[in-house]
Amino acid sequence: MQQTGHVYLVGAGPGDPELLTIKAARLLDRADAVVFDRLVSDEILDLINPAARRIFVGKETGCHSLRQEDINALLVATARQHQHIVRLKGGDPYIFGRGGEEALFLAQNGIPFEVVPGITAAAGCMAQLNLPLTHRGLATSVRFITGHMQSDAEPAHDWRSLADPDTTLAIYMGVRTMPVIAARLMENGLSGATPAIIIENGSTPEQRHHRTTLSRICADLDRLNFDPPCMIVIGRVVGLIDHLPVPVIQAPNSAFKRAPQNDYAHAHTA
Amino acid sequence: MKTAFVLGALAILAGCTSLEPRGTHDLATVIARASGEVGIIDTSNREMIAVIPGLGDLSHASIVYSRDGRYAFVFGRDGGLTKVDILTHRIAGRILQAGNSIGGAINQDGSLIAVANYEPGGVRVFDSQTLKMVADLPALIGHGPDRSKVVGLVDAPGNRFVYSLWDSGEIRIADFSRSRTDPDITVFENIGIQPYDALISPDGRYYIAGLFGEDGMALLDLWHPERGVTRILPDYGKGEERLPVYKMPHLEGWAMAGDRAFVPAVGRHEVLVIDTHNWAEIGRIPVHGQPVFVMAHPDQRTIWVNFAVPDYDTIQVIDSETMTIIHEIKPGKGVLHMEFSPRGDQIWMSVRDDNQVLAFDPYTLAPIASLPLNSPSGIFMSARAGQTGL
Repeated sequence: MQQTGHVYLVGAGPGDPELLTIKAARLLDRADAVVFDRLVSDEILDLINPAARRIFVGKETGCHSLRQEDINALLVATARQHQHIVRLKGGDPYIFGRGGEEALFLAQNGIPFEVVPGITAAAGCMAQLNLPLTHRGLATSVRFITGHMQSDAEPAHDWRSLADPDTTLAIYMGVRTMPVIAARLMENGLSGATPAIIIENGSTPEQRHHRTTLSRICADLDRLNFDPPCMIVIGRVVGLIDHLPVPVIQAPNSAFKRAPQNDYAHAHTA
Repeated sequence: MKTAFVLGALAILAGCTSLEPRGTHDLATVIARASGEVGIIDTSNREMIAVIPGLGDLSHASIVYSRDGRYAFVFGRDGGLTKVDILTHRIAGRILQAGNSIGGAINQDGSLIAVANYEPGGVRVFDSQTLKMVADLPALIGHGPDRSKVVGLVDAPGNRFVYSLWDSGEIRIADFSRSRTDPDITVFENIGIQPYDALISPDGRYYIAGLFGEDGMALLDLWHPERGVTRILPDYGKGEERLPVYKMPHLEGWAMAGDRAFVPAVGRHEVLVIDTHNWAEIGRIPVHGQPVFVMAHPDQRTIWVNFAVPDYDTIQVIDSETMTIIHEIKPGKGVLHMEFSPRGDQIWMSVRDDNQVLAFDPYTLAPIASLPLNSPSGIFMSARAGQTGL
């Protein structure tokens, strides 16, 4: 019987290494193999045990480095070669991270695993701007929704229920599909004047944000050249930015030392 | 390194093939946005004669021409400023002058190139021969230290540049007629909230800035700067908010025909008709989608309109006399830009999703050329060399 390692499905949070959980930092330090995404910041990669094997399986819209099935197979193969494998994902592995699919595949193949949550982009990006996601009198709920769509199909959402002024909409991967999302929300009655914010490279030193409205958000994404990864939040809570100080983003904490340069070993699956 | 060597060798070969003397007035450049390339089109022979790689991030890129029409100055989004020799198909100079830029201009005597910057904000001015910086205009917000994003940078008669400050709601004139390194700056404050783009009338007299943060536009009469900035078209931008605004219309595309200007409405399926004597709206023409560019044919008889997503497969043609739509064509998905040949015998357009640059006879609407190019966007005829504001 072949001995297998233990896989940790770890959330890296929104980018700032200080927003990593203590458990995640400890696991990275002890890892002997780390499989990571494009959305993991360099500062967090610097925390990986320098002796660990690093496998980059990054994804970018339109140019997938590896298909999900290949990543699943790679995780199983890696677990058969290493003892302590960290599968590191941006944000939270179980919110639009496809961590559930990897967990199912690991379970089917008898690989022991554990999930370590991370701060999801909606929470991390909004907190960076001192903005809440829910607020008495402004939003009684928050919806995490994906803007990603398969080829030319529309995101399959219940637009009527999303077009609710009492709900905060936190849209992941929505830069490209925003014209459809904005049109459907307005057609279903959400006011074009509803506050909205675009947050690019959330919680990293490269973060930039732009406050706008639902009716103008598409024009702003275009005019101001926002690129993925962006978090888009629509809802009355965004209007609180006028009443709260916007913190200046600090460079990453110097206590985190920079490790030797990543080798970015590109993964090959057997 | 190896790639650079190979490209260099190709450029030398390309240069060798064009030893025959020729003019540039029938040449055009086209931005290939996705691949960071610029295509050079010979509009007489209707062929793509070169594709120049290595120009960086060209989303929202634009081009101006040297006074002699030989060099194209390409303004990239990433702050890159590249001088392309369209006769020998070589890069004659390239600098990275800022982190994020939005267009530029060449002054009246052709000696200065100015670039409008987002990050860091302000305007940087370069010698058009050497691309060495001669002036850095920081566009400070108040007394600083923050710099404003600069938009709507144009050249104006008298070796002036005119531009707008997004963050502080100002129009500024930088007059280089006295000094090449230390321009006289005139500041117009409180011109409106968040100017986002601007145009200058073809005669160089009127500078008009669109406002993102409020309705209406800001007008500066450059014959009479002492009269200050006035507000025109108080309803411009006011929508019924049934539809999102997919793209802010390009103001450079304002078509002036006779004493009328044809203006893309913001977020509505209309082209506005403006009387240029008093800048009052005198009519609205319903169109197929949200207009982006509204271009007058050089003979001013027809006005050509393209549209924002999701209607960007269509071009409509308006009769400037009757103000009705007389033609509609569907060149393909993603018609991003169009440009007439200088005397109007051809119209060229970029069809991004089909990776084609198409040309039509604007009188018969017959297709006359179809040239492949990767994700084409802006098209710039070299005849712009002789036009103020372009």
